[in-house]
Amino acid sequence: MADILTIKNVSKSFGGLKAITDLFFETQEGSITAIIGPNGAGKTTLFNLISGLYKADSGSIFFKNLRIDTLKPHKIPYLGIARTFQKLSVFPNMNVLENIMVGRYSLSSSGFFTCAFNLKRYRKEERDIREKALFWLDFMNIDHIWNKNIKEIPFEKQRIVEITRAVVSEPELILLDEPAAGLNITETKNLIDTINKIRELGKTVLIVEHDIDLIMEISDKIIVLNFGHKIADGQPKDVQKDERVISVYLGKEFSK
Amino acid sequence: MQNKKNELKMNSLLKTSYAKAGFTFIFSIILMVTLRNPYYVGVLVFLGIYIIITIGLSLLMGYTGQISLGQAAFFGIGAYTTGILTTKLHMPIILSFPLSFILTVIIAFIVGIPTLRLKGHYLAMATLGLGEIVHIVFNELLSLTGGPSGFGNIPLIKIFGIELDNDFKYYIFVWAIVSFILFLSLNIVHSRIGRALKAIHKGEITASIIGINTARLKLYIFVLGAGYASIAGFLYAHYITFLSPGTFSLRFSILLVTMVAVGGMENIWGAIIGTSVLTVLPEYLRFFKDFDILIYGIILMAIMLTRPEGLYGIKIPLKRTGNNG
Repeated sequence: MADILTIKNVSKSFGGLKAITDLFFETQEGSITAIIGPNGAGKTTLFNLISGLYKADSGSIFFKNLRIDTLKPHKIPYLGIARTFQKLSVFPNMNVLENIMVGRYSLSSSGFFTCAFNLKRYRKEERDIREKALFWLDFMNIDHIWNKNIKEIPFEKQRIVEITRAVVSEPELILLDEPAAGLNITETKNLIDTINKIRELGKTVLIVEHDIDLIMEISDKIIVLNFGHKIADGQPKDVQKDERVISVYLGKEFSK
Repeated sequence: MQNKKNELKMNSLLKTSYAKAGFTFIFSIILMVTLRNPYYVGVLVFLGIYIIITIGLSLLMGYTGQISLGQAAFFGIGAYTTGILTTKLHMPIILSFPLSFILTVIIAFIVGIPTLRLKGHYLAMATLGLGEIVHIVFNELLSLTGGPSGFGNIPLIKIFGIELDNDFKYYIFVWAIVSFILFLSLNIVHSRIGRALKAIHKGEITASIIGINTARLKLYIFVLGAGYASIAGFLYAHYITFLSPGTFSLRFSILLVTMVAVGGMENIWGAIIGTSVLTVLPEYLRFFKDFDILIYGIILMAIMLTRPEGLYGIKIPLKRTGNNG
């Protein structure tokens, strides 16, 4: 399968702090790649670089052979990349359905004039946005709470809403930044099912996560970062046995 | 799934922007017929003019989180441009209206393009400066504006051969425009643009990774608000037929921001409520003679202390209020 995302010798520092140093890896289309490592290893920085929020000091990032590290963040979703945040970023001033409808922004185009005058093209588009949003609500099993205010639903559901908002933009690549943070065991199991469902649609997933059981279960490939350096890259079973990974991150018990 | 769709359909039938704007217009006509007194109708003409400005301001403040202290300036540019064009150049109103609108929009773009790229409250500062500049121009450009004493004899509006020469005719004209602007604004708020604005308000970074060009959208909504203020200025000029700089001061800009804040920023209806309360209240307070300003201040403080989120959505016994503009 072809590579969908290529990170080529990317470095990023904040003042004297080197967050990412000379990082190189690629992600295959339709796969789940996990990025793990201790806190401060540069995992979220990497996501911010891919989604355009940070600019790399050197190196380049390619998405389907198109260089994306020079683009503004609001251009990235139009290429087919969506993401979620480590810190939950649903919109508290909208209900669940609206939170998901706003995710279709990059796939709709009605301007001020078309919207203000309620023109036919706008009404058609709005209907489409609503239908697609309802479809994904069903798909993610949160259709029963569609009209709830976002503040009224449990944390886990808010996470799912955020993931749905990313999926509804029909991206080819989804970046999930610690989706299991704050979830209990049952909720994490549901999350695994959800991520597997997304993979079955042929989407590529890049995931940052500390829940090692989750990572070992779903990923095709694991990249281990430590202080901005890649220290391992491979299939879960190989990474699990890697001495360096055990010493900096996994710990002795896990290697058994 | 089917249930949900039906429910949504019911919602949209009862709550279309056509219905809301239509009801607003009908309600305003009923109000006029019941009031009859030309003085009260005159007050409500002003109310309509102010509402046009505050709807635009509430879109800016409530949906993008920016504050403009220059709405009086845009209001003034709209009024003075049409006033000067029709009196000094004897231009027909049909031409002076689009020209005054376009001039205001251009000035709003010039102010907005550099400032809205910045994060924080730079727009408030820039528009504060604009307000002062415009005020000075009105005062000093004697040959065109008549300076501090202003100028008059601005012609009345004539549509379909009917001259709008009394308060009642003008009232209908103004409220038809208010309803139309309400229609446009409600459509925007409920569209993808409205959702994008709400997204910007709660998280600009998240908004941008969804594909929203936050700087551009904030600019457009600012310019739209300026355009509304310009329309209000046009209506004001041809109603009062006399303009002087005092009307378009910083004081008025602050009053407009207060109206939006008192009514409730996160909703267009909040702007309408706030504007109505602060326009009609002084009329009732005349009864207190010299103490009116004092009581006005106390009422404002009481509202902001007990209901900092604004009057909109307040539960009044006997009357049920809706919860979704």
